[in-house]
Amino acid sequence: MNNIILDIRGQICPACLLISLKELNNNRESIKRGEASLVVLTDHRDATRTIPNAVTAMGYSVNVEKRDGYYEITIKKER
Amino acid sequence: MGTKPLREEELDEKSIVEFDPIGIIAESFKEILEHLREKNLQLQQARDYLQGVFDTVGVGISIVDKDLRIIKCNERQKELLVRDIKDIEGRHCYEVYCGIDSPPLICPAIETIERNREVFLKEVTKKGRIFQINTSPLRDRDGNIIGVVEVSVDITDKKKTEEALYQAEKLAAVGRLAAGIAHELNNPLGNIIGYAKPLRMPAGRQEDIIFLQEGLSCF
Repeated sequence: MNNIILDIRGQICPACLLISLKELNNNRESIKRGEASLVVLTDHRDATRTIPNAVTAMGYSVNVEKRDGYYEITIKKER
Repeated sequence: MGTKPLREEELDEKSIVEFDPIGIIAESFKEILEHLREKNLQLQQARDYLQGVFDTVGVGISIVDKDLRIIKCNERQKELLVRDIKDIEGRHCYEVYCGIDSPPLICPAIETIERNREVFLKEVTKKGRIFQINTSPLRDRDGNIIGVVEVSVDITDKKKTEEALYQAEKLAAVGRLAAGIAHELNNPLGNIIGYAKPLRMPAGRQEDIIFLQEGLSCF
């Protein structure tokens, strides 16, 4: 599994979602095939709500974990 | 998808155009729609599959609400209709299945609603066949009863087999009785013949007379 890391810690709010979506769309094929996953690292608490809402509606499965000082949002293909 | 207004220093036209936020959103919307389409297709397929099972199962299934109005029934159940009616859904089940205009005194569906449990009504004869009707409560997520599921099973063949078996057993019992009686009669008859035989012979020896007396004293 190719884990694509997207470190957007320090990034402002609307950009968090947009940058994550852009990265997701660019790698859509390989993620939907199950060959890759997108791991977003962010320190914005709001992003842990907006990103999962969006990507779930798009047909992905998402997992949010709290780390030391930031959040790790892992996006994979739907189970 | 929530957003906050951009701050003054973040408004750089060139980089915003390059970034193409509208394009990103549009792309994501397309994917949401595609996903929705896929899910709807799966839902329709699941519905069709269940409907297929519902209609081909070998028992009649009918679902009524608390007022005994028919919500849904399968093809098999339609074969058991007493009255020839086109639009079944919405009509009262007693009207369509029993052919009467008001709820009957004894009805398994009513009993299920009142007692909040499964009921088995043994035999109902319809169109020359015998059916066993089971009714069970249909509940919502909170466990409240919202209707009744009625299942009608054709037990005509089973009853015929049971009846034939019963008759066969009766005949076997009669047979055993007859054999027993025959045995009971044969024993004393045989004895009588045995002792009476010497009576036909010319009167004679002392041993024979004593033998006869002893034999006759048994009766």
